Amino acid sequence: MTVPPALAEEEHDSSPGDASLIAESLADPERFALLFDRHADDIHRYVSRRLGPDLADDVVSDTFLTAFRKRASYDLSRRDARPWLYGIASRLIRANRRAENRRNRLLARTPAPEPESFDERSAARVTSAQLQPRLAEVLTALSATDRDLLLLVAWADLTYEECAAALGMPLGTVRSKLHRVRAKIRRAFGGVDPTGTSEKGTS
Amino acid sequence: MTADEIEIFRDARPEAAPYDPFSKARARARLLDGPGPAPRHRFRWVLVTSIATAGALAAGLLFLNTTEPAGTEPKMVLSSLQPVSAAAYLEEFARIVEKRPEIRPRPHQWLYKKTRIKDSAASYEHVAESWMRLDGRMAASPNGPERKIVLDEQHPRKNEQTPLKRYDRLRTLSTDPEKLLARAYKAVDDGFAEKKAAIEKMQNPYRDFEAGELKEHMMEDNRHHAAYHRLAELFEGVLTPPRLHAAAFRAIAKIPGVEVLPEGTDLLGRPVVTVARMNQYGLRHEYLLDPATYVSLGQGAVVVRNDLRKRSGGAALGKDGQITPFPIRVRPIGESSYELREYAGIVDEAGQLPR
Repeated sequence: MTVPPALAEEEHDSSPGDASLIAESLADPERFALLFDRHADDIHRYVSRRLGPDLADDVVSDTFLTAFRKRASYDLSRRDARPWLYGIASRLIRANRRAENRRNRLLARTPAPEPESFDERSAARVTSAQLQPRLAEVLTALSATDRDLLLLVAWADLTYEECAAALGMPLGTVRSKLHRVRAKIRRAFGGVDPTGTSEKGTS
Repeated sequence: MTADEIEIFRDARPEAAPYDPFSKARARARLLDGPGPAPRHRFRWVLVTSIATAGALAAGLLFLNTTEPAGTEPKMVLSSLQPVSAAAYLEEFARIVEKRPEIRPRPHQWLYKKTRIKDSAASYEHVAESWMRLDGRMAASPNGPERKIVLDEQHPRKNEQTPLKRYDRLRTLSTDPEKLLARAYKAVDDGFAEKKAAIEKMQNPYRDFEAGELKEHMMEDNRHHAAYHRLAELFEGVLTPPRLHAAAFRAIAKIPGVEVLPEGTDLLGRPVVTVARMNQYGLRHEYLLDPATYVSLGQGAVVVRNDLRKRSGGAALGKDGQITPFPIRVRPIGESSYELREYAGIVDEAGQLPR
């Protein structure tokens, strides 16, 4: 029986990769818990950013339960299970779309903290903290897929390749969608560089 | 040069709340107990007792794991937790439950229940399945192998608690746990007072025996146990408003001797969370909850000790005019009787099953 490439590589590693754990968990389910140990914090951090802490606990639990149920269909050539897990989490986050929209609306309404000194206000640079309500508005206006892509990159630190794996789309599609998302963001800020570092900035 | 728009989102990302270790452990444990091969009988009991005295959490974290082969990595994350009180668990359940939206059922909807009764002493198992219209005027049950739905007119008396009347009454109850708790104890005490008055009026030979029984029944631990049942009724019901459901969890946490077993399976092999209290005779009354929604999955009682106080078995009037108590049967440990709720919910028509 040929061993999938990802597993063969690991003969020289000191710790088993995700693919090994998942393969082993087919016969010994409790190995799957080690996957939880590796990735639960990261998944939780991401889900918490999108849905807030209350829903995050349940969604993370459901993510791993779903992953466990589907583990037989995991592509063992993929050494890192994070994209797979983020993909499952993204689908569950979509099911909580109303809660996410509510949260985004709340963030959009929250007044940005005032700059502390006259000097800061007079500076051309606008801090990210002040941007948050506007960004929340932008998020709400994006399609679910665009939102997933943007936030997997920006809030989960996934690479484009990892996004492609997570959402099951070609790398080219990821690139072009994110290109359009950037354009949408620019338009939402009136064509102005939101950080005010551009020479063309007119606020 | 413009800053990258995606970087702006990255810099402005919201705070991520830390992953509460309790929730994390529970999620991990649920993973192990969840969909797996046929449930092995793992005896993982976290026996924690919350004593409702100020301060002291007499939390004994008793962790039994009988399936661990030597040398394997510990699989039960709860062993690494600080001892967690029943009150902490119940607060967690309350938090989840109170977020559910309140849905007012309509009078022409039906309450469906399918309950499996398993009694080990009588080696008895029986399934009861029925629909009850919420206005109390119709009932229905499936008949025969084709499950033909047979409708039955009901004639509720004026003061009878139809499901809808019960629901309306529940909605008027306070959701302040302290008030709910006080109300439960008051109801228990009122019940005792009523019984006492009734006994005093008795003219027959059973009167003294009954008076003795009542005295036994009014002992302090039994009083707590009766209050426990009254509060548990609230989260056991299908039609309990969510905020009352949560308040009942919070109130019951204040009763001495209430335990939570966060891991386990019921007699149907379903994962359950158990709220339990052992009475002074060694019988543990359990209310079983769904581990995800904390909705009731049934209830039951199991003999956990038979070396404590003996419960009277009743009495009979002999030919000599004397009251003779029946001999007390010592029940074997493990003897149990459960009502397991296989399905329950509100549907629009008799014959329909909940989603």
